Amino acid sequence: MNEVGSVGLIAALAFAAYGVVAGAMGGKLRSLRMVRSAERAAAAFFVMITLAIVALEIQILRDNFHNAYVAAHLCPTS
Amino acid sequence: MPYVVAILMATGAFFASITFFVANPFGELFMASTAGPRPFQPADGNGLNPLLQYHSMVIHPPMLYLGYVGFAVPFAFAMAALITRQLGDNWIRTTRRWTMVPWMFLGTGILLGGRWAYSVLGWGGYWGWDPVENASLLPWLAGTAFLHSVMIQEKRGMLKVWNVVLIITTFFLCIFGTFLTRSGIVSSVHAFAQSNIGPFFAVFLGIVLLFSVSLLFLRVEFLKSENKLDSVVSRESGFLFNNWILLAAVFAVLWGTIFPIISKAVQGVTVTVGAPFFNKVAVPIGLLLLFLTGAGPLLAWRKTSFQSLRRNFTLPLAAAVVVGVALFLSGVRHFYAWMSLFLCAFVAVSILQEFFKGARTRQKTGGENFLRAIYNLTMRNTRRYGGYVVHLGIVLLFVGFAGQAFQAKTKGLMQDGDELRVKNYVLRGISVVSGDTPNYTFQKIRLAVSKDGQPLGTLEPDRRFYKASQQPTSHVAIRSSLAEDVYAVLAGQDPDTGKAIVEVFVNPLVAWVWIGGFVTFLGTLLAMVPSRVERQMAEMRQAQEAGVGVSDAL
Repeated sequence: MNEVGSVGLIAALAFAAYGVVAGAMGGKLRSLRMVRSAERAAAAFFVMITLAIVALEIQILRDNFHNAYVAAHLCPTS
Repeated sequence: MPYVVAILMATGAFFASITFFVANPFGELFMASTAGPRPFQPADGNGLNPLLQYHSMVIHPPMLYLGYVGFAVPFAFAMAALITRQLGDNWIRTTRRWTMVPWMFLGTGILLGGRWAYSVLGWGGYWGWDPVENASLLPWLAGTAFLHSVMIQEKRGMLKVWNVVLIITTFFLCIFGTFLTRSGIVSSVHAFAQSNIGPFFAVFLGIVLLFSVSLLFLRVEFLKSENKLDSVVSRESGFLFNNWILLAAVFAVLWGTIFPIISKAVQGVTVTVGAPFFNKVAVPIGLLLLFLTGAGPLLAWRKTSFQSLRRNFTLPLAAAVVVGVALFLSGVRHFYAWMSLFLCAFVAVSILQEFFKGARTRQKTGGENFLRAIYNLTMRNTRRYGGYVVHLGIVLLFVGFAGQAFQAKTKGLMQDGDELRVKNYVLRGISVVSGDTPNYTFQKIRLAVSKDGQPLGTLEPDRRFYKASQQPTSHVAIRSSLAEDVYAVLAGQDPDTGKAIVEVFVNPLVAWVWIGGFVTFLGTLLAMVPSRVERQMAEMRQAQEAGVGVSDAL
């Protein structure tokens, strides 16, 4: 599940970076295709971030203490 | 839109990279062994910080973050408007709800944080001017100024530069707030939120400031006002004063918050600015704002005549004077508390007068009954009347704030049969019990509470020792009413006598802070509902577009 979360984050970063470039280019070149592409990148960014959040929540709910964050902040009784 | 997406994605890219490269929550634990690092899974974790094990903590941080994140949208629209030179009021109209939603969430988050501090920290108050508390207040203040100031641009085409400056300031303060919370650069009760991401935020703040201010300077010639201020006594002036005062509040709170950093950099000594400084500065500013909350809507656009001033101000001022005299005669001598309640009466009556006048007009012209007239009036202009409900919520908040001046407290050692007196309350120890749960061990004292000899029930403050984190905390017991809260804390055990150390506070009017927050929340929701006029205009636009479409097809 840690791998899923990390993939979600890095994919979100990639989509965000692409969104910046496509948005700026779409505005500058007045290219509707680029603008649509930037908007889809923004949507994909949202989906990937949500995926990472879900991956972390699942680990919290499963008390997966192999994950450093879960081990640092949770115990089954709290 | 393309530049809006680009700006939002640039912000998203920063946060995604920080989360992935610097504070990755998906790091794994490994144990060193002769055969190399092996995956490690401890049997138990460190446990959630005991201070955070409180119900409102489930929604307090998400509310704040919704506020912080939401302000990125109007900022992105403002930057896009600057880039494309489309600097009319389109970007402001488009982002009105996008500004109100984060403003509402941020305000609610701040109040939930206050409720948490009140119920968990055990010092008897809800606002301690802690740097992280201030960090959330700063963008809310700047956002409040922006919400008011955009109305002048919409109505009169003025303050265009000012509006851009305000949204830049608001967004900057949102990032700055996160930076303060997470960097640990100033000591705070929120020390549990610290991490090593501070320097990255500092760089991002620099980039945001450089980019937005440079862009503003490059486009300043496109931001000329379409009108000038006609009179000092006008709605525009009221908004402008409101803006200046809010910005003064931002500066004062910011100065006090970062003073430890500045003093450390300049003198090499960390000088912390405490609550007395903030209270001294913020209370007069808050009272001025409260006055404008009532006076502003009574002023006319462009110019207010003397007759209009007299007509609109007479009743609210008379009501305030009556309340002020009654308070004085009943023994209220604390100047700021008196002034606050005096102004609360002034503002409340000025708002109710607006509802009343509008409803009476509808009654006369449309023959509606009074309640129907109030409903129709509100739904016809939800923005205006929702705003008035928000102002009523602010009045209730100030009623609650004024109560702080009359706080009474006492402290004593108690066991079975011992009594503690505070104001006209008596708290008698019934029993001290100890216990054990899977999460913590605890010691609890049962206190019978009576007021003027009448029994009111029991309070059971306890002191807990959390097993996983090995940390003690006090769990406050509160008996709340509209008039006052009785607030009991079990601070510990006296080592010499073995008796429980009990602190008791009587906090007048605190409930009105939470009620005021709720009314403000409802008012903001109401102001976001599309008004009938808005809906009619949207329908007309749709009909026109459909007509154009048909004629094009023909």
